[in-house]
Amino acid sequence: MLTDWIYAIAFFVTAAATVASALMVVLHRNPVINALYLVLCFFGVAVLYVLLESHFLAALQVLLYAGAVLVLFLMIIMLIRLDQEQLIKVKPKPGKALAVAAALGVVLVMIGVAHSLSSPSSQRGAFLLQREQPERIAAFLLDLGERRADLNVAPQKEPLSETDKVQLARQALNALAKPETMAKAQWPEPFRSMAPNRIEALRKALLAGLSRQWTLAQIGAPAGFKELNRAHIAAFIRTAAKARLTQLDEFGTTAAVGRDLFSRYLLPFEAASILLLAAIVGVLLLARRNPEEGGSR
Amino acid sequence: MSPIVIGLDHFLSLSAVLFGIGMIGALVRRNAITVFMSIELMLNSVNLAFAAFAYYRWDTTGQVFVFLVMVVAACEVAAGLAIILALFRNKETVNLDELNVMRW
Repeated sequence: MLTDWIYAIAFFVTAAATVASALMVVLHRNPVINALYLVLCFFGVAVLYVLLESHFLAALQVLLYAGAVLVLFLMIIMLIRLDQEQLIKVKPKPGKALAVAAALGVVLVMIGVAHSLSSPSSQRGAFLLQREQPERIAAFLLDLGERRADLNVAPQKEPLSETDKVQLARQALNALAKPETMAKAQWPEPFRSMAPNRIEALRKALLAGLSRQWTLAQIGAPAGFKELNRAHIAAFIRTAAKARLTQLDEFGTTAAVGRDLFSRYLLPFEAASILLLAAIVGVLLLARRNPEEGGSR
Repeated sequence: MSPIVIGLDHFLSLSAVLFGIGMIGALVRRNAITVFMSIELMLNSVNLAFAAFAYYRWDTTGQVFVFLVMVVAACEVAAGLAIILALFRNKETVNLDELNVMRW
């Protein structure tokens, strides 16, 4: 309860500071002041990343934006005469009012979409539960399909709805999607001796069942897996749940982002490195003096 | 009094507001450097939305995307500011109204 208040206050204070500094970036006439308010805005976003438990991103935000990008901006401002815009009398144009109106329209549409997302499932459902009661989630996921008395479960304030259960189970099965998680999972028999592609087929079949709005009680062995009974399926989902719990613990750390970056998103990562190389070469070419100016080196 | 629970919609609304402010800046301001800052603002708001989705889905993928957007933004700032500097060398101005040589 108290942490909820602190979280809400931290969010609103940071959000107000970020929006105010963003407004100053856009409204103030002096580019140096704009750049300094931009730092403030970037720091505000970094704090929001911390609130979102994305600590790696918060560190990157401060290093990359507040550090590198801002220094670049300030350097260019120093290289360019500042009085340019201040000297020009800005005459009001109908285009500007139109631009502001268009931007406000875009904001309204986006906020509308955001509020359509504030369905019960995003307010009080599995999303929230994950933040508030990790031990309850752990208990539920490990409990899935089969009661386990040795778990020390905190008394439940409100029972999980069937939708939340299905969503948690689906997330658990999704957690197995990565090959390395699939390999690392401690499979019980009879899955240990199964070929990986067969396990993947079973995982997809169970996910398909959950997508058809089945309740957990309706989930049985899918077609093609006649040798499996309900206890086997429960063991399967429990293994998925354990993989999911490992994933939950790791969220937001450098290790988690790095693992994704170097496995599933290796190609985009390498493409980004090529983009950086292209940017370096391009900027060097742009910065070089024109040969006809006599400055060729 | 029950506390206000900060949900996905709060973060997305904030992101939308930041995006709108950046958009107004990019469309209305005439100083090329400030326009660039506004574009950075818009990229940041998109990053915030990515991070919010990652958090409320508890999935690291969104953070990977934020990382990639940051890389692209860094490239864009470096190249864009170099272009602005080259323009200033040739035209002695960063006022976008005067930089209309490509307009037909």
